[in-house]
Amino acid sequence: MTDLAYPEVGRTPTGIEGLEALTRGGLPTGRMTVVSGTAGSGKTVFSAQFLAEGIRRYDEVGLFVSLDQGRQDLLSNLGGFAWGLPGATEDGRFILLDASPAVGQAEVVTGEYDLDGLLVRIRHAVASHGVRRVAVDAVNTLAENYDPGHLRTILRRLRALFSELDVTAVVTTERLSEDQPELTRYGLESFVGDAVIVLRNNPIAEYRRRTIEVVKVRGGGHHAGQVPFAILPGRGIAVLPLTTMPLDHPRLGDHISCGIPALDEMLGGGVRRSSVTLAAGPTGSGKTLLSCSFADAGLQEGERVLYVSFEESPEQLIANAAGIGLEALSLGSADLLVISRYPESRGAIEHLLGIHEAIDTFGPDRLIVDGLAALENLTPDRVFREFLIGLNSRVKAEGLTAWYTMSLPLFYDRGPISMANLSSMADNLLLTRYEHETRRTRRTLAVVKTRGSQNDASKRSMEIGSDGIRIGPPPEEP
Amino acid sequence: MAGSNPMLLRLFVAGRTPAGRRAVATLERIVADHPGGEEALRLEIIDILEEPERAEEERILATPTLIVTSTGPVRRLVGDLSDRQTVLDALAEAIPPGEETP
Repeated sequence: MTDLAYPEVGRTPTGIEGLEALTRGGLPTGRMTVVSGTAGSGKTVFSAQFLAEGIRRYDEVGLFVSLDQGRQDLLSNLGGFAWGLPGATEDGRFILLDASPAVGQAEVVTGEYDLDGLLVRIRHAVASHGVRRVAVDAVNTLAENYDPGHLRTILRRLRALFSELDVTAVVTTERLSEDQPELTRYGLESFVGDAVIVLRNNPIAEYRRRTIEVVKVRGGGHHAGQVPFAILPGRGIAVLPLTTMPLDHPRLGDHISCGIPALDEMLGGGVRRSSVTLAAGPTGSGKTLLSCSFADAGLQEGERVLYVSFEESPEQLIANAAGIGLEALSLGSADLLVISRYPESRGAIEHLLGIHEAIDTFGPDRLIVDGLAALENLTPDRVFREFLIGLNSRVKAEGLTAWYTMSLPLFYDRGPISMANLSSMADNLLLTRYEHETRRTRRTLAVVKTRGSQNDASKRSMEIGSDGIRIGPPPEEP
Repeated sequence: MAGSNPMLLRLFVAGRTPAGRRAVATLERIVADHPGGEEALRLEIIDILEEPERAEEERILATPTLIVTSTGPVRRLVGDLSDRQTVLDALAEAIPPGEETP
């Protein structure tokens, strides 16, 4: 049996966040991985980050072979990433081999040739610097500057060279367009690679949805299908962690206060720990102040609170909270982290990865995400759904007690598409509304659903005063 | 006279390949046929397998590659130089108009 099996191939972790889960541990060690994508899909970032993380995390010397960009262009394009490349260049752990066409020295081809020069230079650099990881970017350049017929040969020889030198390599190649049926420009690169990864950059309206797909890993399994990723300023590529909505809901914990005694009662004694609450209603109906109360109550209990707002600055938020007498909610508190982002400042997946990072570093007990509609308005449905699933899966995995708000149109028959998604994901659903009466407009609040508790679903009046949110009594039995 | 400022023909090969040998033969004939001989055309053959750092210096990707250096623009020719006229054209282009051709 064993003689028929593929020899076991080790894996070299890329160090790129979220990617190891897709490749089941990394790229095949001592082999060649082909990374394909259209212009601007992130190939150069991917290959450089593979080397940079190798240097930073695994102390492996990296060799970057640049076939299309010259040294200066490449370094300035990568200059925005805080990977420590300048230092690694100085101490000889990041080696840049500039194999771009020499400027002003156009080559005239006359007669037979091969591309041994490239192979000799790579071999020499690997041997003289103790290189463990190699990136070649982008191999299609060779087919453009020389006879395309050489491409198959050079790919085979590169693969053999990497195997002989026992270095783990990434070779990028360009796709003509996202619609090209082949995975790679010349349709042959993927056959030579021991592993193949495709980066996509699909426009949906004005949004660009980046995905990464591991197409094959020779001699091993991998996760199938496209997974969203982002190129984060300073950090580079981060792949959205693989998450699926848990089929059976995790157990909810004990009841904790949301800061308003009457609302706690309506919820059957407060929200359960590890539950997700959604407060939905039109703008100005009090959702943010409810969130502030929930945050304030957590701080009073000595819990850590992460407050993500897509609508207000931290200062504005605290001022609003102070206006209704909430005092624990203060920017001076070490247990409070407020992240305020314009929704349009980046894509939804970038925002989500930012929240993931804050969860990692801050370690909150309570998470508030305020103003989801502002983000939804800018985001294609499919991507927003990915955002929600990714957010909720993380919340459930960490056992955070979460509180989201979502604006609804003032008059609606049915909510936005996301309402259906959101309310099915939420354990508790609160609806805030305006009621127009003859003389005045009155705010109302109802607990529409709670999971794991008896709730009082009656519609109550809600008044916002300088001493807090007051909730009216239940309506009298008729 | 060109002798005071010879044209430099540097041929980069990777070991002894048929294409490399053809390129060497073409160049040796051109030098031999030239009235100024080795005074006017200085031929250097670099085997990058033995001197890989020189391939790096001159950014050689393909072999054979001929780099022609004179007073004018640097010319690079890739291939076995089987077409002698292409080589002669490149030598002519390596000298700015008005100066003496080798």
